[in-house]
Amino acid sequence: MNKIGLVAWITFKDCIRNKALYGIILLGLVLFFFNIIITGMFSWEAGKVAVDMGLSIISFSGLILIFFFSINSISSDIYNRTIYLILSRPVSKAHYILGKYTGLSLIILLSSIILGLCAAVSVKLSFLSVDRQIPFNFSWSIFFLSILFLTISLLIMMALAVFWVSVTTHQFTALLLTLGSYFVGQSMENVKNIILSTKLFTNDSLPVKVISCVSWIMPNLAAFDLKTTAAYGLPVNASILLWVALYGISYIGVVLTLTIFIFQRRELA
Amino acid sequence: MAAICFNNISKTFKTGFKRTSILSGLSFEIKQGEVFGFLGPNGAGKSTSIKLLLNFIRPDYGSIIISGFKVGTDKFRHLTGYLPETPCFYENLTGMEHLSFAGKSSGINKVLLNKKSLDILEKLNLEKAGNNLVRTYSKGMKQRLGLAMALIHDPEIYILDEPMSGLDPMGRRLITSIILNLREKGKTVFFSSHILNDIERTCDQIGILNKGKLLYCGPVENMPENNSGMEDAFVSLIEKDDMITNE
Repeated sequence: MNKIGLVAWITFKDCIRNKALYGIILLGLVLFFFNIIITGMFSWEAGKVAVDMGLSIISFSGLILIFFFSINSISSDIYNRTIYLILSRPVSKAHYILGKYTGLSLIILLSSIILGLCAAVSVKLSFLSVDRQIPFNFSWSIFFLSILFLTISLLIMMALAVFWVSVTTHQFTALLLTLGSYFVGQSMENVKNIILSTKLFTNDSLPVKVISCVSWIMPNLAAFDLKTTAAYGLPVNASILLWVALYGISYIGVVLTLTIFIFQRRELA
Repeated sequence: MAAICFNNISKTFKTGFKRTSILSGLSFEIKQGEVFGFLGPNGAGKSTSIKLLLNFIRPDYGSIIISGFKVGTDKFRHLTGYLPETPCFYENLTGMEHLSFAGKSSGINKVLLNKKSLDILEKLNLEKAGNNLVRTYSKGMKQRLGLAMALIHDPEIYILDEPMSGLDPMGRRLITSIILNLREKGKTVFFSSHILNDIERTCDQIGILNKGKLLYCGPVENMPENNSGMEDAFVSLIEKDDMITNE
């Protein structure tokens, strides 16, 4: 555990001093500013647009952090051979993977906290300017709950990014595979809904069952998307959310276990 | 008991559809307290041998033993200090933070670690740069920081891959004096180098590697055709082997 903490600590410190991180967070802040301006241009459901955009900006910034920052952090360790300085100590490859994941996840958490607070401020300011258009049942607790679930989905993507970097031999391949996993994870639920809407298949039919099964393996990122719930002030089902959270945590555990298993067999020439 | 023992090591790498042999049947022993110089032209297999020694890659055949611990199955890294050929660091961390990681991961307590870090930085002329970010370091400073990380936990065995590369004459002299100091303390040093003068000055034993085969292993003075100096003897040995291989 101590060794994981040590790797996490150097990863976090190295990232937190990286100017690229500030660039990404600054981009997020600029987008919040635009959120206030753009929301002001809407004459209908402006409050919903403000909430939806605020949450989307957190998600967008988090994904940029994963695609261009986290993937680069691990692959440069491998290809620049910085990893030798770690693995030549009494630190195993499992410690390395878990430490690296923890360090990078702390960056995602920090970014979600900073951008989440900025999103809340931008939504509040938008509400002030369009006070008659606040969603009917809007609740700040659901708004922050949706940020929490969005963060869990980013942590899942981070686990997948660590997995692809660890099993591929090129950073670009890892980036493409992580992007692919994201798009498939986002769209499988929609594919299922489109098939169901054609009325050609029922919920119990084999193709729908297969798609449903694949959507949870890919993973099902749509399940973590509470933007619509927060924007329209819809009621939430606590037990479903609990299951989704458990699914997310278990998914991360499985992906990291698989990553360690494969990475332990990988040669670092 | 030998400090390091290579037993019939063979290693191939896949290049496209065919496999290229890098090491074939490499066997030698390094006794405890010995300074062993590993010599060979570029592509001879020196760095591959070191990567095998540290379990970064696995041999196709054979085994490596470090002080009785089998590489790949037993835990041995508490016994070794390693300096890579071109050490790469986390550019946004300071020299002290790297040493702190190296010391803590090797189980040194915080109080002792701080004192040791300062001592080692002073010994390697890095005391003023200790709190600077590594991205501000020169190549020579990075090389010395890498050595500091290898020294921090006072291991029994040092594995140094081209420790003099990129250093100015002052830096080379400093590293040479540290290797000699380690020998006095009874530590085992295994290092690869192209610089024959340094090898001649510091090593008890040498191993000469060419195209993955060990051509010579023993004291410098017993090298074949050593009458006109080590450099001539080395070149002649490699050329003879190349001629035999080409035939």
